[in-house]
Amino acid sequence: MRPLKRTAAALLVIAFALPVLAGAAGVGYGAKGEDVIKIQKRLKQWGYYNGSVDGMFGSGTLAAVKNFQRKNGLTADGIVGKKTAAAMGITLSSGSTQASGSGTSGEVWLLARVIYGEGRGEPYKGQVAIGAVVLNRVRSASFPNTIAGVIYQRGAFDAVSDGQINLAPDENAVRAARDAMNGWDPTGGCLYYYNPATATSRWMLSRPVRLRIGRHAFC
Amino acid sequence: MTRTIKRLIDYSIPVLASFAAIAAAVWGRGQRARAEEYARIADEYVSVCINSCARCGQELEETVRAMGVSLEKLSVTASVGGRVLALEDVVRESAEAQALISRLPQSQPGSAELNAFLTRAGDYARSLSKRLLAGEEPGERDKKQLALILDSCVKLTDRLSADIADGALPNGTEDLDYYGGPEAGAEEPSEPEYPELIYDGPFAEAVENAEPKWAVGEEAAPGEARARAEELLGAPAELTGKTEGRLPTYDLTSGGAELALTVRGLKLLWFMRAPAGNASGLPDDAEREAIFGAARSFLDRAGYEDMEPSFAQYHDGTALVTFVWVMDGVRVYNDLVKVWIDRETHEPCGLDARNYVYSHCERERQEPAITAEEARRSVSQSLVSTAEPRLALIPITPQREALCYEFTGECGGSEYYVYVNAQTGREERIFKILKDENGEKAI
Repeated sequence: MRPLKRTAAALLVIAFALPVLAGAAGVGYGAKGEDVIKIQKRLKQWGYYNGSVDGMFGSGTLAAVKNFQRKNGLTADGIVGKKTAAAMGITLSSGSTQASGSGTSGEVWLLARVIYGEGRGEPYKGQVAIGAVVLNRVRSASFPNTIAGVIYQRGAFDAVSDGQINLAPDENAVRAARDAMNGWDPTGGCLYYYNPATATSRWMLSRPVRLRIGRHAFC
Repeated sequence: MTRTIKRLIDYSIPVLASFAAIAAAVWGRGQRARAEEYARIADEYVSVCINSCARCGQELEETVRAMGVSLEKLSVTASVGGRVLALEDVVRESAEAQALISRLPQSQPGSAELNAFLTRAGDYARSLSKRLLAGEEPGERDKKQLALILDSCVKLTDRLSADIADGALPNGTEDLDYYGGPEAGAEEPSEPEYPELIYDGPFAEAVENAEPKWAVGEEAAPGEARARAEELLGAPAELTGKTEGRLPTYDLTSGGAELALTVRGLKLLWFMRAPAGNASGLPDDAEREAIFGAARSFLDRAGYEDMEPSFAQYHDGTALVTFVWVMDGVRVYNDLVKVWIDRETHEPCGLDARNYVYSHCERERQEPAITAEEARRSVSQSLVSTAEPRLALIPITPQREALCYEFTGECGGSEYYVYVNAQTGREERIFKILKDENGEKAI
């Protein structure tokens, strides 16, 4: 048990440290953003990459970067640092978001994780609406007055209770979080939402529904 | 030969069976040890949760008690400085108590009222301390309200002490339904447990119940909303629903965009459309001007006139420009509209006018009592001016605005906006401008 735990702990440390190290050294697997788009465009232009230019550093981009590095006498570590970027003739803006969320401000990232955990598969407007409900709660006297306080209130969100909040959000969720933070509120100030197909609380069901988006009723 | 094989088989079966038995025993032992380890971890975890809740409950009781003591001290303090300090203690203690409540695992309807009381008590104390600093003496109503808050704090402390003694505070081990479960009462409690506080602050009930000032007039018919959407976005529109609430809206789709028009006045409250989203980096001056121009012409079309761009941010291939209403050269910072422009097509792909719709109305014209040069004396010497000062009407509290001189300057490599009251010469607000690869914003 003990050695197992130690190995697990070591793995965890490495898992957390990797994105940070990659962030410091350059753009690598799991990164997103404008730098990745630059890299993909250049690799595609030069025939190393056949995938789509989507700004997501996935396995296709990784293989292409390694191939490029091998052919250009660079260390084939799959990370685009200063040397690889120079060989590609591009400048990194360091504005890319790593998988850990660096580059996206902490609150946007946290909100994006709730939106993704609670509302992936919902229409975009419904995802912004989930973010807006969180922020409306922060502004309401009856709820905690921080985003983290609202999100981690026990039982407030299923995605927090069942751990889905820890999934890495997709770009849509991050955009929805940013739109909600910028003031978009498709719910007109709602504080609650529920799925009428699964909700059981009489208190909740007694509240007047203001609008429905996708599977959720907002009130 | 066959006999040798047969003998070998005869011997190997028991040998293999014994090996299997030994392996099973070792495996079983390992599993049992693992199960015991898990049980131990689970026990340890439960006890950490219970203890952490107990600590929260205890600290909550102590904090609310301290808040009561601060209010008692306030009632016997004469000096302005002493009273401001006591009020700031109440602000801090109420914030601490709210943080502790949010850590106690209880249902939302169960904690909502208490949370609202503590939030408003702190918010009210802050507004009172600001009034004292501005030279205003609290009136009879304030004395009564402070007494009511003290009374609630004393009752709450007693209740918490009793709950702690009885072990009645939630500790995370009970089943919890955030919304009170299927059996919870559907009716709102008729008798409020905490006093209603009348004051001017961000969490005041008056603010939560504020009515929009701009979206007024007769209710429009759905057909009119559809026609207005088509006129605005230049594509056939379809009504998808109606959102009720303080600001009822018609929700529509038009040419791949979603939008909401206020039922009263048919004002464009928000609209959103997916951008092409390929542009990146910060724009040059020419692109910036083109973006601002595109945004302004859309604002004019939507009925938001005399708007001036302030901050801009660049994300996901879009530019987000915050526009502020300008009244006779004075920037009115409550009346904001945000416009998103697709940087590839320079077409609008979003708008949010909630602030404007709630606060926009004609303001009474004011003349500044002091000159910009006189106001500059209130600005810190370390701020190096970077632009000419100009007049702005800024929110001081949710219900009060003040005419100020806006000074823009630099200090230690950062840019700041400093607002000095144009009537009293008092420094009212300071904003720091954050600039990064995505543009700028004020905090």
